[in-house]
Amino acid sequence: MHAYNMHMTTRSIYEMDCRFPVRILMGLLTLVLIPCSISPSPLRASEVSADSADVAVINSLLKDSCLDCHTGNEPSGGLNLETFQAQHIMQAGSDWDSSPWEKITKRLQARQMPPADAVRPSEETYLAVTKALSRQLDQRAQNFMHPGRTDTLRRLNRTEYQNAIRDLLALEIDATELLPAEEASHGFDNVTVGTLSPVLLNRYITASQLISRLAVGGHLKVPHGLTVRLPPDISQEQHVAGLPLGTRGGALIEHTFPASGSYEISLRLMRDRDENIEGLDGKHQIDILVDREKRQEFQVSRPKNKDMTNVDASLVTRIHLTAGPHAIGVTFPQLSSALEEIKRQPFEAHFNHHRHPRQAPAIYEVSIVGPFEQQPMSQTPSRELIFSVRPQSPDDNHACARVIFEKLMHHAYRRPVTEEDFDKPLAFFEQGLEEGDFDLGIQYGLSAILVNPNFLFRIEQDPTSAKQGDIYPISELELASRLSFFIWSSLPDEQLLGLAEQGILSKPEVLKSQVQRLLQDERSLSLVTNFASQWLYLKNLDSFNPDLREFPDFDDNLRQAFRKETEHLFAHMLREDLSVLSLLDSDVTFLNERLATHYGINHVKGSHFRPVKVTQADHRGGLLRHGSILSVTSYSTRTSPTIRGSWILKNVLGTPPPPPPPNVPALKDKVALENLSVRERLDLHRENPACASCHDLMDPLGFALDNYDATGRWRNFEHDLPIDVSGIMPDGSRVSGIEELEACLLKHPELFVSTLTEKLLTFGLGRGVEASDGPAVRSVVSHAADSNYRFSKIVEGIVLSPPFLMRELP
Amino acid sequence: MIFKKALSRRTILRGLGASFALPLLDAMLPAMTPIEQTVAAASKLKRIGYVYIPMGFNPAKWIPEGDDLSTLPSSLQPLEAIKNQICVVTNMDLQNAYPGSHATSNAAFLSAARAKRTESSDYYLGTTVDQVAARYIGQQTQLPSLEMSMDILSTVGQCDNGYACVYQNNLSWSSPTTPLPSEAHPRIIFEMLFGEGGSAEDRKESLKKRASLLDVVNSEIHGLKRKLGPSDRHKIDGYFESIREVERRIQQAESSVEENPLPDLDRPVGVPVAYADHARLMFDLQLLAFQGDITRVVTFQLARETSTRTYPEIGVPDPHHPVTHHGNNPEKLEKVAKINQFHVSLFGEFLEKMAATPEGEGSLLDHSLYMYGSGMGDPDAHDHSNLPIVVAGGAAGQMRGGRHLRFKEPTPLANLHLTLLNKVGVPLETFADADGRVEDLFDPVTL
Repeated sequence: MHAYNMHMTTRSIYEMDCRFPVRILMGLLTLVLIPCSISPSPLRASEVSADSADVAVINSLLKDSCLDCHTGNEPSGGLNLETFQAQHIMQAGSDWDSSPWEKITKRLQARQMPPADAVRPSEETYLAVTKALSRQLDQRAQNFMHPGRTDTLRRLNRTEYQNAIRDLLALEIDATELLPAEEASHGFDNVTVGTLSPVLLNRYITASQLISRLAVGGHLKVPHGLTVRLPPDISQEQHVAGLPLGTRGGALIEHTFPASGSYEISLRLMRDRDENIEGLDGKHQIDILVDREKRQEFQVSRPKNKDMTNVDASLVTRIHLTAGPHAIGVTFPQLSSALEEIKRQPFEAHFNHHRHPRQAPAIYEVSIVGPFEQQPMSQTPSRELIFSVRPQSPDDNHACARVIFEKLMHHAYRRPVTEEDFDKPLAFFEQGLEEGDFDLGIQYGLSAILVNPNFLFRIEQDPTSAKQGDIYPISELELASRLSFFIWSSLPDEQLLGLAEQGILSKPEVLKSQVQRLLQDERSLSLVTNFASQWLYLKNLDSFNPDLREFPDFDDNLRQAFRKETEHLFAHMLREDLSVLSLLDSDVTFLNERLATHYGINHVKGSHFRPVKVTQADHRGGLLRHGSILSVTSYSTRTSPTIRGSWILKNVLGTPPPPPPPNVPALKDKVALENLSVRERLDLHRENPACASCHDLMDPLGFALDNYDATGRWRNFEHDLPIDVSGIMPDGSRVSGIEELEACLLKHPELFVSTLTEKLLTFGLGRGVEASDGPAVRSVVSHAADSNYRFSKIVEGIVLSPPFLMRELP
Repeated sequence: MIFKKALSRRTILRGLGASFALPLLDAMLPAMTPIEQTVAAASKLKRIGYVYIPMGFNPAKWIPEGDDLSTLPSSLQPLEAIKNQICVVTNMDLQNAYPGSHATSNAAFLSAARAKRTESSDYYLGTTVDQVAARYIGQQTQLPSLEMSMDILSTVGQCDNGYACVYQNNLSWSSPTTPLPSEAHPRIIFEMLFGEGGSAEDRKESLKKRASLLDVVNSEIHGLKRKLGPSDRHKIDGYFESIREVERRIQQAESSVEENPLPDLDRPVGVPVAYADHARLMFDLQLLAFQGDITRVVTFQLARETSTRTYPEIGVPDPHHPVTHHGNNPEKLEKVAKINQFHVSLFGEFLEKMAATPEGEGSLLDHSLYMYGSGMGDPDAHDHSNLPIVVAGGAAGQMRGGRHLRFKEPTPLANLHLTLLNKVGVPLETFADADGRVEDLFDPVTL
């Protein structure tokens, strides 16, 4: 019997319901966590025999199917299994490393080992062994729990900062303008956030000043400028969502104005490389709209002398705007005659002067500078939120400032406010009061709150009594932040903080209902725009620029539509709480006219996205049929079966290909390969065993998708050659095309669900998932299986898992 | 001629026991090193810049045939007007960048260090030369160094297998564990250099506010440190360093507000759409920063490793990265050369502007050193040998331009790094895997 190595700290015993971990863990994780100092109960006889049966099954598989290659001085993959014995899993001490065993389990679950050309176990054996391995590893985790350790200090990343400002101050900002991007680790940008470089610190200071000025408003010494430039590859022949029907092209700019006054709006039109304004034939009208109401119209036409230098110089106007958020629209009323012209053009894209020129002028840049003639502040959403009280006389200034700051600090610091917390904001307040008025004082005080590390950092501390090796539940307040940053990528709201302050948030039934509430809240959309966008590489769409000769139909409109389709599918699953398998297998997809045309689906009109029922002949539906994913895994001139296969291994199957071995041998004679097709080249490549070990896994998955070209369009031929979508899967089965590939992936749904769970866990914790998290992941997956993997059940399982609730002091 | 016996600084300290302020002893100078080439030369060269191009070159169109630059191959042709102020250096390598990869090309270029293979936050590289320079010559200016790049998009999950994205994206590392993010937005760089603008009085007032906000951060972090366990305290110490750094910058900026010789400049607002225009603006900002003595150390990544940027404007509509896997296909090689030439032309324009901006008895270029090149040689093989390297400027430090320095044996790039650092006044005896200096880049002093 092993020594029981879990030391609950005194704090966890006395401050919390002592049975709490037991309840959660028994109910949901089948992990028996015995409180305090009692030794674990001895195993019952049936368990012992189950154990020995497991051990026998595993050991015989190792012997029969692994040791042929994983042995000797140069074992395959550098993994020597000679000394591996299944009984070690339960017998070894606390510092035993489970990672090779977790890896073995994964490779067996994915049927990737033994390789297809070796003698392979029967399907029954596979099932029995993976079950036995999981059971042994999970049982071991009951004795040696490792919830892992998130970093103590984690800075809000750029996205979280932006969302936090939105929730704290009712203020939409564009944080990409203010802060540098975080580097991604383990696939997410909220992992390596422990440092505070001088550049960042500088930016945080600047941001705090700009944001507090914007939120409080007024007090601008000089007019400020905003310049919006539209992507050069955006077509402006069609209606833009959000602008009135009957208009085409242009832009809708949502911006918060810091003060009331007149603002100068100037426009520039798209020009070609010869400096001529594109598409300027006949007369065109341009409207400037504020919150959908027309405030100015311009006429432009081709000058008689053809000199276009000054055509858009006169597109300047001053418009009165009140402080606060406004939607500034700049667009062209649709000319009915232009429609026919457009339809005659063979391509959907209209931005390239030489191949598919614009049919009508387009907006290139909108500059807004102001305010001029500043006027008294008007009410704005931010001011309504901030100024909950107003001093009736100067004597009240101080007390009112305290009330305002207390509310802001409570939310911003995500904990009860201490007396000490008031010192700095109040000192700043006094200075602002002296320089200006009460509002300026609040503005200065707010800037001091926004640079405070209690706002900028998420801090998870070890209890003072914790000793090395201790495992303890994180505090209620820390849990509130973990929850809200996981599901909302933002600050916890009042309700979450309240529950945490009452000390009842960590109760399983409370947690469960909070998970449901948070998921149903609009803010959970961050799971789409932040989590899914990183998981599925949607962020890389912006840098996807296909070769325009090969793909003359591609423009920014299509790029954005790609993104929307995938976001809509994920959001649909989230909102309807569907099975996560619906991401791979869906008979509905989300289209607007632009995307439907690209996919060759008829009868979808207009710029807005809507669910569309698709049939087999449409070749659309699940993620692997989305233009977004098919294009970010392609080169600009052609598809890459290898990248697509690698993407599936990483993001669907959860078995990322290992890094290429050092000293990859070069292809023998590259010149001789020039006339071969991609498939032939890859076939040659796989003849080399060093390359084959990974390419055998990647390439067939990618080939199955080769009916989709580099922009995700369906094709049966590439140039003159018929597309061959067949390939042999690691388990030796033959798969041909998308239908069979999806069926193959769904044959073992737990692989995809585990991958998604691991990705969510990585994102939720802000750390890489380790081998020691294996049991928790399996538990989440099997718990969710009962509901056919409903999304909320997976999120709930993660939130109730030890890695999410606890922390260890190594 | 004085015979100098090499004696390391450490030897001196050991030998003399208690330290007393020593003038730079002759004995400390490496033997046989011309004095102008060592620390002792209180250099007239006061600034240094590094420009990075990704994915190597086509040597046939780059390496000059002879030892001078009388005929420049096509890739270097744009430097014709300025060729007397450049040296082309060939056959340098980066052994620590092996096994060949894109991530290590970028990471080793200025560090010459081996990147720890990890995708996690335990990345480890080495301090880069620009940051070494920043510590010595950057301290007198408002910004010790300026890190610039051209790519605003940040990619995820697409970095070299096994290497965290930081290796591929960051040229500059202020310590082996601290990559410095670069900035691609001209307006933000402008604001870093010149603030929001306004009158000197406004700028001073705004700096004062920044200082008190910094004070908030400082006192809170002190409080935090007390609450944390010992294992987390070291991280906090890193924050204090950043705080002191920002504090120093604020003070520096305060004192230079009035001395700043720069005219009121129009803030650039957006990012120019055309690549070349964007690059020119970025080079212009470097020039202004030098002219105003706001910084003395600059790094500039003209494109990122594995960039798939297309260059249709020069007849290369193909994405850069796949083209560089040329397989000796003459068409692809020609395209690589074209991209090389395009990048060089932007650099050349900048050098010409620097040469046309007077400073002291010469030009801004005379008092600056620039190293331009890639951490990859043959991109098809992902190798890090025979790197494309050009050194520019340096006339005030007697750099002898118009030459092609061709090493017979592969020579560590660190040798050149060390030479350039010494030349701008950084008293370094060795750097990374350097096994010497690039002896005849600069004129020996005849005594």
